[in-house]
Amino acid sequence: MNKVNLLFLAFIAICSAFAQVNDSLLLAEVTVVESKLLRLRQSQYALQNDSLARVGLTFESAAKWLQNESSSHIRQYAPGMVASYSTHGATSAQNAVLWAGIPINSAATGLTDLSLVPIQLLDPTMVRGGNAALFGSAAMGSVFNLQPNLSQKPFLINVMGQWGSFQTQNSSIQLGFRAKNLNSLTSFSRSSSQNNYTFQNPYLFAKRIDTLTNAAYQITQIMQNTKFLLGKTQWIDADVWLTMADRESPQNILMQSHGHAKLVDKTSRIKLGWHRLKNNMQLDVNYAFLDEWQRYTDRDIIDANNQSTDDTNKTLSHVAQIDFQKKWGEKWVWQGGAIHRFDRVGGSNRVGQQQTSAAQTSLSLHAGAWKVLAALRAEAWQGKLLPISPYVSVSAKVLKHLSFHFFGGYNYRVPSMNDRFWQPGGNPNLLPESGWSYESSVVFQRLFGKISLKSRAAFYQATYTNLIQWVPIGGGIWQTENVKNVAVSGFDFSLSTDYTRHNLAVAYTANLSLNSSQIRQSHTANDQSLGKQLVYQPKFKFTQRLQLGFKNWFTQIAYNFTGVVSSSYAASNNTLPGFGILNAKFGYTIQAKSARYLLLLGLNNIFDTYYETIAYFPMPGKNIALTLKLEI
Amino acid sequence: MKNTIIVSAALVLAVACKKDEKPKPVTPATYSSGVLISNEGPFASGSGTLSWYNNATNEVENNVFQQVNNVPIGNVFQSISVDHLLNRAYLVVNNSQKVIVTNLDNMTYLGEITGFSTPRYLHKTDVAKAYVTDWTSNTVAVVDLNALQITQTLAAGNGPERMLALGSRMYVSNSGGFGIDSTLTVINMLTDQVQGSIVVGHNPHSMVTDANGALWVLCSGYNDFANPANSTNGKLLKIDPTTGTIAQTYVFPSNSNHPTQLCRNAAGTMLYWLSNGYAGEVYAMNISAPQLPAAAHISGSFYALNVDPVSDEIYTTDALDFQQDGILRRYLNDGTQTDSVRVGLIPGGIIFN
Repeated sequence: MNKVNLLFLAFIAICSAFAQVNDSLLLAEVTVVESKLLRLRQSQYALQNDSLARVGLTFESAAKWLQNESSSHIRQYAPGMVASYSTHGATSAQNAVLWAGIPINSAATGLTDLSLVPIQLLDPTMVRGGNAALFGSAAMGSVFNLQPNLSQKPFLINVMGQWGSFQTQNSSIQLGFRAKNLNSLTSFSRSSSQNNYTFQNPYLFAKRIDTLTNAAYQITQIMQNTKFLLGKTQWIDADVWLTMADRESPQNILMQSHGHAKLVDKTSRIKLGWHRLKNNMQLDVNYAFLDEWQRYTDRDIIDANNQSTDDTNKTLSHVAQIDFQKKWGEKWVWQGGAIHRFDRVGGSNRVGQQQTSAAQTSLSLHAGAWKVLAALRAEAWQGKLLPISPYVSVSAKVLKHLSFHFFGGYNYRVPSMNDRFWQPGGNPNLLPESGWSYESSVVFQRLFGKISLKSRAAFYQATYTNLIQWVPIGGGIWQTENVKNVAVSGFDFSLSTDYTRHNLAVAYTANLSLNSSQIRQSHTANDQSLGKQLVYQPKFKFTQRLQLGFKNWFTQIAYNFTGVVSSSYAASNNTLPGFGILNAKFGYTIQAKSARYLLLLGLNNIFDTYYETIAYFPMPGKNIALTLKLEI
Repeated sequence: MKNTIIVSAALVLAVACKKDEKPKPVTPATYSSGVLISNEGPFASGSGTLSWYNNATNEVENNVFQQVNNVPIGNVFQSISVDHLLNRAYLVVNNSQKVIVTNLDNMTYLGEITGFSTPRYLHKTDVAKAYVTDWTSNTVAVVDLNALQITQTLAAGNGPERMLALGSRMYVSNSGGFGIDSTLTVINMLTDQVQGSIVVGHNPHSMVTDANGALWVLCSGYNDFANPANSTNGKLLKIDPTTGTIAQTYVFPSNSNHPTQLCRNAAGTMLYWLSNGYAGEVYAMNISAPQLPAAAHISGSFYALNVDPVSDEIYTTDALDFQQDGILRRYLNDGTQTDSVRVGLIPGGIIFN
């Protein structure tokens, strides 16, 4: 055991000694964006952690967290590497990620690297389905909000350490307090792994055991969330989220070299907010500063000056956002907002800037068994007004335990700055991707004594037009162009049930998704992708999870099956086989005064299944992780 | 109920068993004739494939190696070399750092040669001896084809690419790699020593000899992706191989096009090339022409080019958007298209048996 681990254990011991009991509570304040998300959930499926899942939550990136969701598909070169996800035929850049309501998808790449989003430090909500009228560009497939999770307790200490296979070490500390007007939470997290797992290489004549190399990572996260109450009707807050990631880049295992590429990311996000409540009206004013610095090196690629690749790029965004809502009685809520965003990119590979401004409004009605939400959004991008984006949802509780839901709207995504300004090949004349989406669902929800049961079946359709793709234009130059139109349809089914009595809690969830995301039109000559499923969009995925809590014991067993995935439109290189992964967690909790210790053993990929989420990049086989967690 | 479960399970098993289809059988002893196409495959995360085109029947068979051997070739299948004497094919796999040796008749795996950094082309010069250019290590490996081992490594320039054997000399074009070079490395094949170098234009790509014994070198010119203004024009050079002096220089008119794939007809009186490396048109020129042709011989967007050494038919490949399977096109020597077939992803090499 090294010094870091000894220090960590010593810290746990010191913290335990300071454990105190104090149960004073203050009312939680909810922002307008959180209220918007709540109203979306009237008709759209939402994924959140339930209370049992929070017990077993240790170190999870958003990428790992979303793997348990049947309509989400995560792809990574290896754990800890850049992760992107797709849902309902929408690619990673077509899913909006928010941090405390602020859109944080990178202006440069258009997406958020989900392996750098620590779920244990943030409270995640993923609402599935297009909702660009409410959340703007990129909200074509889903919106994924990450809410800082300020403590309601006067004093909070969370300390967690994890030791796992492949020299994986994770640690995090959260210190929080709530005084009369001030609420503060400081979070620090560090994850590292050599990722040097072994696998039997299926692509060689000699089915030899290989070890993944050049996949080590170190990720550090620092967060500071501060809220200061200005009387009973207003508060200000300041949130800071710093991420430093130093990650190698593994090689395709068809290659025999180890590779020497490395990616260093430094991201700074700062948000300042003022919030006012008055006469059933709430006003949120936020400003956010988003800064990304990225350096990519590869000493295997040498240029004309005999220099190896060493590219540094920087992205800067300023976001100003105003949201308000007013309630009329118990039935009507009028909500509106405006956002202005300025983005600038610079560095080795691209230089450019853009401005977007949008205004948005929605009106919701809750009358008896009916809930209706209508929204409109107008966005100006680079001085041009984009088509008005409407959205409507209707929910009706037709029977005591049965409700019907519908939503539909027009969604869009403006091109990323890399799409427009990358040298060479960026195309400043790109059009936004856009399309309509609809979903109808039926929900059955009932209590049978101590057993609750909820089931949801949904059919959805969507179109994505003007999909952006890099295509060769000659001279070795690739250029981004709006080339394809995609038609999406599918079915999602979910079942969840739980039972709680005395010291026993049981919860079971199952999700099944069928998806067809077919390319219907292309501007590319002889396009072989016509009629084919989008790459890396599984047609079928099934997930199920059983959780048991009994007295001090906790168990979670999760099985996820991902069907065949197309990895290329070429007939000769087209599919990754389906795979099923079984994971389990076993935990024991010790409550000592106000301090709670949790010892958790995680067994991952128990059947040692060989699988890939990107072609020729193996994911780890069976592995374990031991977690020690202290909460005060 | 119990019976129902048993029957259901049996049905499920029966259905499951049907899915276990065997690979498509391959007719043996076919690949030693016709045309072989090396398809590079996706650069970062995929495997190359081998296509075989029967130029007698115009039929194509794709993914040959995988079908026969049930493993992929590897990442970036750069080139093929055929060896009728030993009845072998050598599949040079760039990023996978190996040369796969197969039976030429049926493409069954025989072994592989490793120890390269990024092998590009194999050129056999003796019964059991070959040279392999190694792009990032800037070397040429001498290979023992019996032992399937590298016996010697010779220093070359930046990005050694194609080779041409003439007399006792092996000429190696140093294509510049990711950067720039302007030389041909000359190897004495009798001693396996580097004899010297010839200065040509920026980034020599491919070479042929003509009917008169002259050496023609096509230089692509330097392509600066980040700052196109720094790019240089390509050149076509005629060299006297006995003295190593440049007899004639043709300069291409633009620095935005970078010609590649120099070929010749059977008689050695005509030269052919692509006007651009990723999406070029076919140009043709008589070896006695005073200047470069103004118009393309075959219009289109081509990635690879070769000329049938028997029929003088012209074969090209079109990599399309580099994300779907490419197209092999066949033309009469006058440029009239006679056939086109889908091959694999990014077809980068055409070899005639």
